[in-house]
Amino acid sequence: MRKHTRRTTATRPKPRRARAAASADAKRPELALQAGDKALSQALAILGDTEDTLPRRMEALRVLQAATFAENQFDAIRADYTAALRKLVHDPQPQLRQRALGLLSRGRDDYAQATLLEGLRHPDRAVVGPGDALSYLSYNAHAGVQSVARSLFKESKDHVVREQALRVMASDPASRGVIRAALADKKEPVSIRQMSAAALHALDPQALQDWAGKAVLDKTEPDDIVATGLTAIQFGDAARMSDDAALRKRIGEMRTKGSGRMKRLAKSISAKHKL
Amino acid sequence: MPLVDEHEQRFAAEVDRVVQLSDAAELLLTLCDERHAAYVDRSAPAITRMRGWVLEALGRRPFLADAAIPYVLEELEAPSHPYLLAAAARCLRAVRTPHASFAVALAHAFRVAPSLEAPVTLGLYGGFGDAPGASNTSPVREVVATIAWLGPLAAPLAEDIHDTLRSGAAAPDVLLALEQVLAALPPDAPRECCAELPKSIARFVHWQAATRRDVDVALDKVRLEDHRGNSSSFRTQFRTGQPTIVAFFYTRCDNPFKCTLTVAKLGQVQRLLHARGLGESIRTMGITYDPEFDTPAQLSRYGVDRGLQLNAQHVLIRATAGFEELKQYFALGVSFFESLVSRHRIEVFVLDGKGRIAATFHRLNWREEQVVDRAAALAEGEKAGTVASPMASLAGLAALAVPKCPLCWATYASVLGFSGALTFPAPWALRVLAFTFLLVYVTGMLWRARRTGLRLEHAFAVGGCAVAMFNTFVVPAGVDTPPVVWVGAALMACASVVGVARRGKASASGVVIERGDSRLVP
Repeated sequence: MRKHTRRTTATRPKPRRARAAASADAKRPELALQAGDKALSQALAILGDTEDTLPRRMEALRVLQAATFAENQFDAIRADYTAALRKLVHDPQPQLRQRALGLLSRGRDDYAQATLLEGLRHPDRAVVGPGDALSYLSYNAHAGVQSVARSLFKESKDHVVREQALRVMASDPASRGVIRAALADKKEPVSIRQMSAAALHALDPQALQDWAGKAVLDKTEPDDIVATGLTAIQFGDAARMSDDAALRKRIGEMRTKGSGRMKRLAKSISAKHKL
Repeated sequence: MPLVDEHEQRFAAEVDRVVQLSDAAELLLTLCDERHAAYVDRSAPAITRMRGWVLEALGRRPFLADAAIPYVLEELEAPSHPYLLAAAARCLRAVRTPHASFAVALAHAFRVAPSLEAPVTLGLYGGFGDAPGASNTSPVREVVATIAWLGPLAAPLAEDIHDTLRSGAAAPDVLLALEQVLAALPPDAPRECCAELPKSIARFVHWQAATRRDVDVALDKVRLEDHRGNSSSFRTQFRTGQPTIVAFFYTRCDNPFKCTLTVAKLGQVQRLLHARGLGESIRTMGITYDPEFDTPAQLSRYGVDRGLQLNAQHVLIRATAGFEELKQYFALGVSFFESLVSRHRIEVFVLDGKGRIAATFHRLNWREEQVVDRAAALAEGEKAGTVASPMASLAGLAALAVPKCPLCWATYASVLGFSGALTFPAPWALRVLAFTFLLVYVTGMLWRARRTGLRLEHAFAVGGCAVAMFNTFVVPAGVDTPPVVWVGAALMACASVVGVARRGKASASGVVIERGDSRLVP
């Protein structure tokens, strides 16, 4: 008879993520911080010291960021921490700049937002690339970056920048026209069109349904786009579906023909809308 | 001034110029209004910097006017930005004398400030950077300095201060300042919070319409859609014969002390109405500032998540057409940047059964009971109004028969004289009667002159009256004495004609402004 023994925490094998974390711990540089209240001030000093090594400064930032969860102790240095992050926005080390901008943007820091917008308007003054700047600014819908995002989306050739611009435009009703055009444009990359569909789902569900019906019927559209159209139809109105005989017929065909993914989606729509 | 565009640079320079003028307080006050042209199509961060600069300018002037205080308290009650919070806290210290009611807003700001703590440079546009003469501070430091300024009136905050000192959750200089605040509190100071705002300030945030009248706005253009997707017109939504409590909000609002709180409080209003048996006779309505983004599904989710009961009587609404007209009708304090709200105040209204605004609560946090009481009184009044209306009509007809002008009085007297109903009184009685009428006339004229200032008609009236009195009581008209009393009468007639002509002219221009006229003050 097999003997059942309960494994203790010590005997249980560590999952891969825990092992990776333990290995990262072992690689962390030693900061030799004092115990007690002075530790955070010391970490701030290391973080701000441009002569210190990058790993030590990154570690100081990690320590400080972890301490933000211990609210009471951290409240004493919160303003100094924000001041230190604002200085890092112009640090020679790009990793530190990126981390600082990420942290400040999540807190909707006015200085970080103003610096990022300034960089988008005047690329010679930018502290990060336009894709990253848009990504950080997208944390705050009120940052006032929508019009800049629209013009970057139209003008930029950089795929990453255009994707980030689309993310910003996804919460902007004034961008509906641009997004609709991108969705309908077969020359646009599939990822841009898929993101446009997701954006329209919130901004203009009716327009998305109109497009989805056409995309599913259009045999020249690639499979990924047809699948996006089918996914949109799943969220659509059953009455509208039952009025469209051509669409019903096409979905019926897809239940038996086409790739496995298409069949699954077509069956799911048929079940939901009782076709 | 780095990182700000040309418009903001010009704005900052203009505020700096205005602050030197003798009427600076009045001019700066106009810049506190969200509807000011300077804020049109400016982003939320830009408006934050602009308003912060205005608050800084107001704070530099001696003694903050009562009308400006709600703008300052608003930033303390609904803080969302380190610079605005620090500037508002400092600005409040420009009030001539602290008032106990300020403790409410300061207590709230004191609890929220640690989460907004960041370096702020007051004296420098935008609040960040270094400049000679600027002061490096932070929201917590400014709020604590203002609490210290309250002196003994800060007693209701003692418990919060003790908590902070016990946890040590502040910078050493802040902890020291808090210890000093506690040490300065008299041991017998009352700890309960807090006094109501004095009427001189409260009248700027809450008022009842003296007369409810239809506003000249093209409301037929307004098309509304509720949280269920049902469309309606302004008339069908608001002219239902039942009072409606209306609150404005939008789902993308990122200030938890504004829209989220307003909608949650609207839920509490609904519960109070149901508890008082008024749930079916008073309607509640939330209207979004952001009709493009707030679809019916979005509205419904937002309301339910915040405890609203949504049905045909209690709705969340967006304007699918005519939002501008709606904005005009309610005189909404909101500004936009492209399609997104960039700034708004808290706004709640009580509308009567015909959709006319009967009471307004705005900018500062409103109490649910107060709004329900107002709507309940309105519902009660409308019920009574329906019963009393035939009586009112009869009274109105009767009022037509009452003589209202000297000509009417003369006609009535003639009719009574011809019919013999009026017997000729003794001469002494006539003199008493004449004296009484002249006295009433002069008093009335002087009372008008006090409100409007001395004018030509008043000179005519007093002159005519003096002549008439002289000819009646001092040297009575007789065979040898000319009847100058007619000159007096003519002067008084001139006074009437000039006065009537002046009022007619003012009415034609649409505005009647008189010194001390409260109709112009909300």
